[in-house]
Amino acid sequence: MPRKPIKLPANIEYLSVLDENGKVDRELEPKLSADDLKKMYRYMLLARRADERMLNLQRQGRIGTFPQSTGHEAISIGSVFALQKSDWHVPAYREFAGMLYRGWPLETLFLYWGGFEEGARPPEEVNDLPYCVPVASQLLHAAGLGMAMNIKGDKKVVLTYFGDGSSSEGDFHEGLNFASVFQAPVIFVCQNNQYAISVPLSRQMKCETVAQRAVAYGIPGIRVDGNDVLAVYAATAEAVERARNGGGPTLIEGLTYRTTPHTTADDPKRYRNEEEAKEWVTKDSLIRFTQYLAAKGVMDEKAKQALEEEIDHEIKESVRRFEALAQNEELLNPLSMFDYMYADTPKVLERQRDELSDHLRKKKEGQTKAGEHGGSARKAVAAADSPKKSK
Amino acid sequence: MAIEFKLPDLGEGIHEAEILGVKVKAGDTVKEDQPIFEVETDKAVVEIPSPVAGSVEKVHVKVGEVVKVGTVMITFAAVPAAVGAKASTEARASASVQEQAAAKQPAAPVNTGGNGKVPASRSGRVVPATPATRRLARELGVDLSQVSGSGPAGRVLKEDVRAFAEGVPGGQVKPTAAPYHEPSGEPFIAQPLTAQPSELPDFSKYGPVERVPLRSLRRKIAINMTQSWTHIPRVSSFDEADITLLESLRQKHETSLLKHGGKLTLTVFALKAVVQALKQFPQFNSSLDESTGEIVLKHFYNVGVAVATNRGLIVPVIRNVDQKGIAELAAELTDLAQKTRDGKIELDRLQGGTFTVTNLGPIGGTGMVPMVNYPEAAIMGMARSTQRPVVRQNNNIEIRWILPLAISFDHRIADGAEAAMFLRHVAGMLEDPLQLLVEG
Amino acid sequence: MAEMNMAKAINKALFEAMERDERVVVLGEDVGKDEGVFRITEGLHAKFGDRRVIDTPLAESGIVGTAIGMAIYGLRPVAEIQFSGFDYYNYHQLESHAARFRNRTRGRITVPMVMRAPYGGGIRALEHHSESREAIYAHTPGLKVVIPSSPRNARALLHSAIQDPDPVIYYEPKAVYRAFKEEVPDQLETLPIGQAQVVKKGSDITLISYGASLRPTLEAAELLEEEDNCHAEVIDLLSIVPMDSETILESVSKTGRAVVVHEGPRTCGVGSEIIARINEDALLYLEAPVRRVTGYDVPIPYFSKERFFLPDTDKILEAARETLAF
Repeated sequence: MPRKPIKLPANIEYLSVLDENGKVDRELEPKLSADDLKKMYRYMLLARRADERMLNLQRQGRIGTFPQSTGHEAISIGSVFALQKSDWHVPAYREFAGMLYRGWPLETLFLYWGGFEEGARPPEEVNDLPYCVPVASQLLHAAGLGMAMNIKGDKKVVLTYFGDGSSSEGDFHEGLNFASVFQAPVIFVCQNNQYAISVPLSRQMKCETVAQRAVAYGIPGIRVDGNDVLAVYAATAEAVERARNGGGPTLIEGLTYRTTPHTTADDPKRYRNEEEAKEWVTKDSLIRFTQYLAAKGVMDEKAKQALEEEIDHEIKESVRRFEALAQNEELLNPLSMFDYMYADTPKVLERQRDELSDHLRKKKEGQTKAGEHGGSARKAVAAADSPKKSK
Repeated sequence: MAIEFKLPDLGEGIHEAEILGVKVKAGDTVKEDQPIFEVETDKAVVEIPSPVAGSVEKVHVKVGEVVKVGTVMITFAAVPAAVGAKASTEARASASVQEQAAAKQPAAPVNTGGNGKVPASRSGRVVPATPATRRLARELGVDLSQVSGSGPAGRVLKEDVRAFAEGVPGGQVKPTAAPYHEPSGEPFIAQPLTAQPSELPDFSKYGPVERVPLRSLRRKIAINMTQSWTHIPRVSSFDEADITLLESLRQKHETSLLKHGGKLTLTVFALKAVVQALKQFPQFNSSLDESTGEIVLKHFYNVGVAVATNRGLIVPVIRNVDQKGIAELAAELTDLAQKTRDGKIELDRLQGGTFTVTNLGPIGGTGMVPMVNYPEAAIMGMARSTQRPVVRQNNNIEIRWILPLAISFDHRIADGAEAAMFLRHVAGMLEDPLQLLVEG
Repeated sequence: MAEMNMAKAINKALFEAMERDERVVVLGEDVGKDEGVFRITEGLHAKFGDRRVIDTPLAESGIVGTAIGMAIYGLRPVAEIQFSGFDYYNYHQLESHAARFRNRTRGRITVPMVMRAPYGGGIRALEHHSESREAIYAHTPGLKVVIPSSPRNARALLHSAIQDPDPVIYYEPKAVYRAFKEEVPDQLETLPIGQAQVVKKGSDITLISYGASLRPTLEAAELLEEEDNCHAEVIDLLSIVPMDSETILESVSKTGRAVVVHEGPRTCGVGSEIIARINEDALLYLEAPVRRVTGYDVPIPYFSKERFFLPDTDKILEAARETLAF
């Protein structure tokens, strides 16, 4: 019996359109209008500035822990720009830029990281799922959405995201496998930022790229420069086109670097050399894209400055609206936690809600105070229960 | 308004931070988001930016100090109402708004099941009793710790609670629909029956004896009878009723009522006759209030019917007998007697009687002297009806059904003549069923 | 009106639901051409084809996770997990997503799906094929959990589950699949989720059960009637979540005594919740402690010993008699 190599369609490519100085490869340059380019830049910049602002809000105790998205704008915007409004967008948790582009108001996302479920409510007419914290689990929802599109015969596509760490999860495999088996129109985009909190890429996988895993699922895979918004766009546009025409899923790996901590509660100095991070800052997608736009004559320094000011104002206004919402009685009402559990609230939940309401009322009326009769009774019991010391 | 800035929770569950750097001093003007402190937490070294634009009034912390979350770090002098100003009081403000919002909801009371009273202080362990018994005790106003339990391991049973409630004058007896169960085969704890028990000689000197406990119902009957005997100066009177006509009618229609769930017994007719008599002689439908010296006349007719059970005599009560027809009474009496025998009679159906009828007929006997069911005023007894030769009109001797009747009554309230008239009235009704039906 | 067993009745419900509503799709392992290892999906693939009767890869998380996506997109997926012993793989999809989408998006995104799985012991199955873990799902806010006990209520309950706007766990007592037949009416029937049924009236003690344990419970009740002249009331819970407290409390307030019967392990089991509710609202009616006849806190033994683990008539009878004599 012969022993011979099996030929696999292992043509995994790397795509880069802008080099590290923002110089474009004319042959690969996607056809985007000046307005589109400006729009891309605007949402990348808005996400970047808002992310910086959120760090301050967190340090001031005005929002909670959040994962920063700085450095992930190009992958998010480059890919989401290939979607139509009726397509679906299934983010992980660093797709801040893409969500803003899809129509999520800034204050809604502030509200989310500010501790309110209302921030996870997609606006009407926006076909997005909210942020997904349990990593990789959302890939199956994307696969399911895609399968449903096939079942219904809709010519739509789904764009979903995950990180390099997520690629080790079982749901990554199941998501890609289901999408592949059922030829679901799903584009899986990996935000490979080379770290899963502290664990580097080398501890997630032994293979060269995340993209090559596509071979195992029998689907196209490509690695792109994740700090090159045009490369991400070009690869995604191609994948979207294929998916929309029945060509099934694609795996796109954007290679970038998490120059920030994992979240505001993380300190990367504990596990990596910050020189490495500084090096990547120089490869920043916004710098390169600015250079490209300037060279192309789409946006000069003056226009950029005006945009900066406009965004600064927009963020200020959004923070103001967010803080007003965060003081909104309806949103703050603790009893709202019982809302939206089921289409019809079961009696057991109504009762628990009444119990909390009653407790809060008593507390307000001063009936429940630790340290008064309840407290002394507890002390008495504690004293009675404590073992007597013998001399 | 001066703004205080407190150390926020910078990570997830951070409680304190060490101050590594203070970048401003009193009098400095700061911009919003300008770094003001550098601090180190368990998790990371972070910069804290200013939440407001304004001038620094006072810095409260110094380098090297470890401060807890919530500690005031810096005070800013009066600043225009800035967006960020709210942050300083964020935690407290939102909590109070939340509580207010919640308090606006209709506060449905949570069912605590209790009366809200704190139980009196007890010594040692809680009295063992099932929750159902506790509920009964609560309803009857009985303090369980005062009741000695006759159940397993000294458990207080419902019967103990009832006996206690009825044995204590002024015990607040409230009606209830709790099922009434009888115990069996439970350990017995000897306890005196009355306040001043009389002493017995030692019978065992004369031969072998066995001591059988007066348990639950038997004990209760003993207590009640003692009460009746010691409180009521009782007199009895006797009569006979010729029920030949009534018996022929009763036997003819006995089966027709069966399908309505009732047995047409003599007692059913007796109940109707008694109510007629009670209306004529209301003193027999009363109680004497010893404490005020008044006769309490009752304008309702709830007649108790003594039922023999294997646990002792129980007297369930038929309410408003005057308002009920023969068929209805028959059905109710049948149901009541069955439930009583099964031990499933509800407590409230044992209470509120105004007069009692006891029928020993099915067992036998030519006559009896019944005991008044305290605190009622009178009781009527029926012995076995038998066929006897009776001298009738024109000196004819006929075989007739004769029912012996007896009444025992509280002589403080009524006299013998009235009792004789009462019995005659009852007998007359039973002798003339038509009149019974017309008047009943 | 036709007489059928529970397996056939569930199959009938799936068939009817797919005919009535083209949003209904069935997915799972071996549900298509093989028609399910218990033949629950018999005839579906032949009638409705590949698009709506989907043989999936062997991956439970994948089955439930994609069903969530389908439900969000507007379909009404009915996901079959071949045996409940494997549904731990997909538990996180239910806990983290199916159960939470409505709440975390404040009603904007909902997940109307059903997860069906045969559960429970008594069929001499392989290891990992006989568990009763309904309590895990009952402990997961946002899910509904229903368990039928007979062909007729199985069919009605599955229709209700498929029509429900929220995710429903539909556990099928596989020991009952082919245990007996019952008349199932031709016209469509549903059963309100959250409503228990008093299947036998009585006044002396309340026996509460569901699923495969209902039959031995009813047998015990009949023996109590015949041998002890004791009238047991028997409640078939049907819905574990939401649980019908009213029916339970009404009965226990009347009888003062109760025994809860289920196959799942005792600690933090469904019985614990039932007793807690009795404690909260019917304590003062109790004549005796409420007993539990349940599986023990061990993995259900392999089939040589499983019958000692499962509640049976004798165990129930013993517990009931002790409760009555307390």
